[in-house]
Amino acid sequence: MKKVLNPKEIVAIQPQPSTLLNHGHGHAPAPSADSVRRIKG
Amino acid sequence: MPSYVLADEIVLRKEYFGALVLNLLTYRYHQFNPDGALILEKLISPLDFNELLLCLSEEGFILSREVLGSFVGQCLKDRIVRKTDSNQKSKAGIFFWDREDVEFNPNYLFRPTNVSIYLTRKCTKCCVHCVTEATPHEMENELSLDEWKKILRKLREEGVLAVVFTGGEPFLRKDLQDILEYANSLKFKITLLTDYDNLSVEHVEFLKSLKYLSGIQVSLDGACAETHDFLRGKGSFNLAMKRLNLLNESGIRYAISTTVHRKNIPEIDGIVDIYHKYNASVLWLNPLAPFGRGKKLNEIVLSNQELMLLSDKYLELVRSGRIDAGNDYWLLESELSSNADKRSPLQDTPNSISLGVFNVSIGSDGGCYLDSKMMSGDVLPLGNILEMSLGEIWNMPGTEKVRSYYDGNAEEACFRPLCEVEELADLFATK
Repeated sequence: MKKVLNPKEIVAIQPQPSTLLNHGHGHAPAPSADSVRRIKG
Repeated sequence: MPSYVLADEIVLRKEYFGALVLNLLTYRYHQFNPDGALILEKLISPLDFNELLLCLSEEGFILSREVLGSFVGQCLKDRIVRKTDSNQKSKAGIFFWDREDVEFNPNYLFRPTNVSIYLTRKCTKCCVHCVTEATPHEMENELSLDEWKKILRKLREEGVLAVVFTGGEPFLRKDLQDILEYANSLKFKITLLTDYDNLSVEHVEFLKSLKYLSGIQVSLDGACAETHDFLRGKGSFNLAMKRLNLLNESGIRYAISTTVHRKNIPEIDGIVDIYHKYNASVLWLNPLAPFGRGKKLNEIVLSNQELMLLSDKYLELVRSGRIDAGNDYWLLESELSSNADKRSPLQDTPNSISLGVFNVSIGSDGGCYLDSKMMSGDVLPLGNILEMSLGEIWNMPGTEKVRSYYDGNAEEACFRPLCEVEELADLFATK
């Protein structure tokens, strides 16, 4: 039985690291757009 | 017919959801489902389109030419895959494939993606809000160059993708260049946080020579000397302006980070003007957090209402195109400003901690924390990275309980990372 593949980029399951720089000393990150989309469906 | 191969500047890491990809050309992260991960892994060796289809078919997989074409096309567009005429294998970094000892947990990343490295607690300044309580004095138990090299190798072997160097003031380490060059040779995405008053053209030219330096971050805590110097000491503002001028003239990509509190919140527009004047790439607005030396500044920590106003201001600045916040979140369609029930991601930042989601902090003595705010409290480090593996630290008893704040309450966690510092005492050993 062959398996059908459906490859795709998925929206974030975790908040993603920022696209440029990280935060300074311990500031909580704003969640990425993708993580918000996932949660909002 | 051209062949396709993973771009050399890709780091591909297997994860419970499929694969996590960092593109060191664009510094963007991508996440793929297991089927996408399976195809990407095949492209470590060059294959033309028909060879790729055949290779998958022989392993018992079916997909149409259209579906595969669309997938490969998107990967080409995102520069994850490139066309090639040679037979050379990709130099992409591949982690956690074909390892029988790897057990993925469906609730969190197998290893942190980012590690913040506090190279030293020594600093030229004595900022009144410093979380790490850095001072100009020599500090004990700081690690050597060889020890940091060993740690960086360990992080690389454990699949960490990005390192952020901070302190204290990283430039006070005489071996900073050696450390950065070593991290660069290991192909980490590198970020450097500095507020070094003696930053020179030579320093900046060195930084520009680092292929994988995604950028640096400097501080600006007011639009005038009075407010900036209130946090950072007399004369700091003038030196900060000189530094911004140097960075602007050098053309290096850099971010300005502003610690926002009651005294400088009216100066946001002035700070934005400076951001434009000196061509910074990103403006971070970070609410003051009352930790470390900042514990004494409670009277100027923003209230919830002020944090919401700051969020609205940030949204307005980003959406009008006046600033780049360095995070797509602020461009989302959002009801933050019009719906009183919504919480701003800034709203809880002064007291909460983004625990164990994708980051670990390593102190100047090698002690590891899930968040740097824990360095300043009574919470002991989870362990020392020289004595333990990153996996042991990442999965220490207690960390799962903290992550459950996130997992059990995902919708809230979107806006509320994640627990109050005071709650940590119940979960981790304290001094």
